[in-house]
Amino acid sequence: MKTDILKKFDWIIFIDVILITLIGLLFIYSAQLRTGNPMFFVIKQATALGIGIAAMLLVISIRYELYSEYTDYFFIFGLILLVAVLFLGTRIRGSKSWFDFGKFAFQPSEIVKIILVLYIAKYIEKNYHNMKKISRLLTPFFATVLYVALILAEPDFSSATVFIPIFLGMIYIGGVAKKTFNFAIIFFIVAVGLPFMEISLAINFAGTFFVKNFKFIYAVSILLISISIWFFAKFMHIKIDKTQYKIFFLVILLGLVSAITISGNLKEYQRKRIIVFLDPSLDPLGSGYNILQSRIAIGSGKITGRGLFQGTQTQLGFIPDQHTDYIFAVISEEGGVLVSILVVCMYVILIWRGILIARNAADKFGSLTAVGIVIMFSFYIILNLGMLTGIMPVAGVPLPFLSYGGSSLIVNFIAVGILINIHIRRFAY
Amino acid sequence: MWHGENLSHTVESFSARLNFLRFIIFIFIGLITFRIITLQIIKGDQYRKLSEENRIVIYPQPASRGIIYDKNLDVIVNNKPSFTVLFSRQTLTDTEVRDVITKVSKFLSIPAESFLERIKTISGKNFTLVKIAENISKNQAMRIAEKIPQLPGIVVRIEPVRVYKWGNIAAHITGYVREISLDELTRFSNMKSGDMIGKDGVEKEYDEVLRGIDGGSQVEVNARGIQKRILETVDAIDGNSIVLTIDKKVQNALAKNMQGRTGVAIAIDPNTGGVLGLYSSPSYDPNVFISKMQKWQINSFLESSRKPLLNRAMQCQYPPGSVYKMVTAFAGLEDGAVTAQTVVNCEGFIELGRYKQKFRCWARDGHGEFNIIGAMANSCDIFFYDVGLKLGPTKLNEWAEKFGFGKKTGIDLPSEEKGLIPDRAWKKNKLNQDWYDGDTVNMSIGQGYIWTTPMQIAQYVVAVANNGILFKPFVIKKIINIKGETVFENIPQIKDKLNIDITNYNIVKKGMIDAVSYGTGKNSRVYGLSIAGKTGTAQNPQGDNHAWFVCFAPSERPKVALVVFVEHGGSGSAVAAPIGGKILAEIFDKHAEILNIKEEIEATE
Repeated sequence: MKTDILKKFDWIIFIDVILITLIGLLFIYSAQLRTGNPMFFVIKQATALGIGIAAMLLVISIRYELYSEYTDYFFIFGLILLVAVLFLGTRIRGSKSWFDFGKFAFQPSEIVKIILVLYIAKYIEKNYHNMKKISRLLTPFFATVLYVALILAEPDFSSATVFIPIFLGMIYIGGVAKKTFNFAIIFFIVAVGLPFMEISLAINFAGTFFVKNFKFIYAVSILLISISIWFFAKFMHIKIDKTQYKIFFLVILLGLVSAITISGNLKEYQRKRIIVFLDPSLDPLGSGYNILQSRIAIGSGKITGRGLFQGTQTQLGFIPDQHTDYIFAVISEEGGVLVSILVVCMYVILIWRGILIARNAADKFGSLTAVGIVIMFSFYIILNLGMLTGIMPVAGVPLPFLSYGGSSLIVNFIAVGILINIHIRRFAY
Repeated sequence: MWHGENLSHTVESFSARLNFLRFIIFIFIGLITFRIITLQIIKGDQYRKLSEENRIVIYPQPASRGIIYDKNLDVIVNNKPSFTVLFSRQTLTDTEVRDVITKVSKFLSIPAESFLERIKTISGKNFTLVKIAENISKNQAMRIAEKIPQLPGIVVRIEPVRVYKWGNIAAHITGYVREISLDELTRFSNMKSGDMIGKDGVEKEYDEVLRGIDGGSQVEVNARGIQKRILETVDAIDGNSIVLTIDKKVQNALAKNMQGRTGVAIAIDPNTGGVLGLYSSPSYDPNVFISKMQKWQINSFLESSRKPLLNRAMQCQYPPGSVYKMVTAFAGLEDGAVTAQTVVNCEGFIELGRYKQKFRCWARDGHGEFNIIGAMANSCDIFFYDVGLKLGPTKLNEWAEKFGFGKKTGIDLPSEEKGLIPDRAWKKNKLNQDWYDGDTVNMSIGQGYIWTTPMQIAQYVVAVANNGILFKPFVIKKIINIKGETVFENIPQIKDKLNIDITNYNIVKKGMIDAVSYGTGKNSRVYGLSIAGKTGTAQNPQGDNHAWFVCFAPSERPKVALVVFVEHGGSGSAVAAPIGGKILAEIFDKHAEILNIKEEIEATE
């Protein structure tokens, strides 16, 4: 059995993530050189790597089908963690999202992502043949909303964002009806549209009546549009399914409620990030400074880079948070396009293998779990690199395996463990 | 594979949707890859430059401007070390900048607005040092230096600042320096904000010679603007120094005797064309322009109705009046229209044209009979009308041009006017009128449409003094570099040799000597000095007559050619001639015979 496991073991994905982590360690060292104690974070990250590999092996050693039996309990466990952190957590940078155990700290929102993936995967597997029914979506939807709401309460806007693509991606792959999926998309567009539009209008027309009352105007106009769709259809003699329309209208209402909640709870710094994304020149020494400096760092690396430990942007401290969210700027500056594209390729291998594992899994639960994990990784990679290269808003998400961060690294290895587990047992039937 | 055993539509759906998901993900990754390649390869050079600008701050070390000496190496302009306050914005926010500037302005008791205005000119580069105040007192500098920890971005250091030792005595020769304007910055690519640039006089004309090359250090700073290491240091190369032809004694004599008047006095060495002294009155103190803080004083110069910034020697044009008569005399003698024996009877006026228009002599009742020498000594207009009419305007103008009128003298000082010699074509063109005999007679005594600058008159007097050698006037004797080596030596430039017959020359000279010894110029007499001079009282439509006196001395071997001009001063013999006498007395260490004769005004109708 043991040799069997080794034979079926997905070495490609394993070596891939180990290499990414090692590259990360090297550049965390470089990013910390100027502090005079570069090994401090490197040792912590290396320790997390050790724990991560151990956790991964532990995860692999148990047949993943076994997890599927306990997803409900995991889900409740996740809820307990998220509620507990609100009361017992330590406030770091304004959000109560950490359990502090002295020697090490742990962020429950990290592990909760995996729990949600497993929970949704199990739920869809159970209801696979009924997934076209809209009612089947309610449970995973509310499960997601519950987690997101608790994380927003910390408040940790950045960590909450990943749940939306996980939910959407999993129900999509899980065979939800196209119409239903469209409803979900409409919901999120309505919900996220308000804060974005509000801020972008505030940049150009601050203080006007229109901006001051934007929430109200937004809600009324969206409701009017949805109602007028009904009358327009009547007028054009297009048949509309009444139930479908009712659901559509309900989705719109839900979206508006969420939109107003999100907009009301946005922190000033989050608002600022969106502003800077929309127009970086507005604040060259504030939030825009980070974007500009990381872009200068990446660009100045040119083809072969400034050389390891030689990046002036890095070593002179022009890049903010250079060992965490902005680590890719350090890599690009010192390694040039050769290393930055290499890193992108290694991520492509990770995603590619993950999708292959999802395709070849032995059962629905395995497939869907793999999809959830792939979406999680992809989302972080795209959002982080997109932010650094200036095509996405500043979201403050880490880069998997590269950014410094123990909880995140360990959970990422657990996720890879689950992928490898699914891969090993693909012929289990 | 689990879906292999299921219904076919589910298989397709799962596979297709997974493909679509993968497609979406790789679209994004493709976009990011494209972006990375754009940033690093296509825009790489641009961002590399930005990163260099981020980390490298240039701390300029300004070069000292060259020193300006007089001909005997007496220092006219040099530099003194002065405390300067500089500011670099670093990563300060607008409010922090305002805060720092307000504090500094309190130490200096200067309104903060004037500083903020200067800082506004810095854009982008946050570590560039910008000068915000210079020439501050030692006490102020110490007080700021003590508080440096509370004043991020402020640097106090010593920089050379221009000192005009001769002050207003030589202001129109030296000119002055001022901080470069935004407009000039766009024109001179090698200059930077805060640099001083010559604005007038030698400072302007020889700006590049004097300026030198700034040095500086390239310093690597971190994101907080803290200096990490010095990458490169380039020493400043001080500007070259200039030795002028100006003679302190002469210059002082001019300044002393012109002060309080509006006008100009020019002394030139008739053997070279080198300017010994030039004083335009009223003058100004060039030191005022160095310090930003005396804006009101600068404004008072600019707004003053007496226009002290004008160099009246070259930037203003006046009718020459009777000092022009030597041109007519030489023209007549050389042409043969008159000789030493020609006698004209002055009845006080002549009548010209159909309407018998009267052209008067300044002596209303007439002088009686004069030959050319007597006519010059007494500045008789009738005699010169006669000469002018005999010659005609073309011949008169020919000689005007020979003496350099109507063209810039080419002196090495900025903004020279060229004057005007009117002729038939000019009058037709400008005024649409024909040329009349009346114009000719006016021309022959330096009136009418003729315009000259005092410098042109000086150039002409030099040529008269040395029998027809037209030198180009100049103020720079030589340029010496910081090692003291002469890198350029000016040699006198002869523009033209008029080849005047020595007999004719002596006739004119005799007329001028007589003018001083018993004629209209006798107020300029100096004990023991033989002076050849000529007065002029120029009518002008702007107001009172201009007083002129031109001369050279000693008359036998001229060492100095002098022009004294008093704007709207009245009569040449009563106002300008005594000034000329006093100046010459001082130059030659003699005493002027103070006659103080109020001659009747010599002027023409």
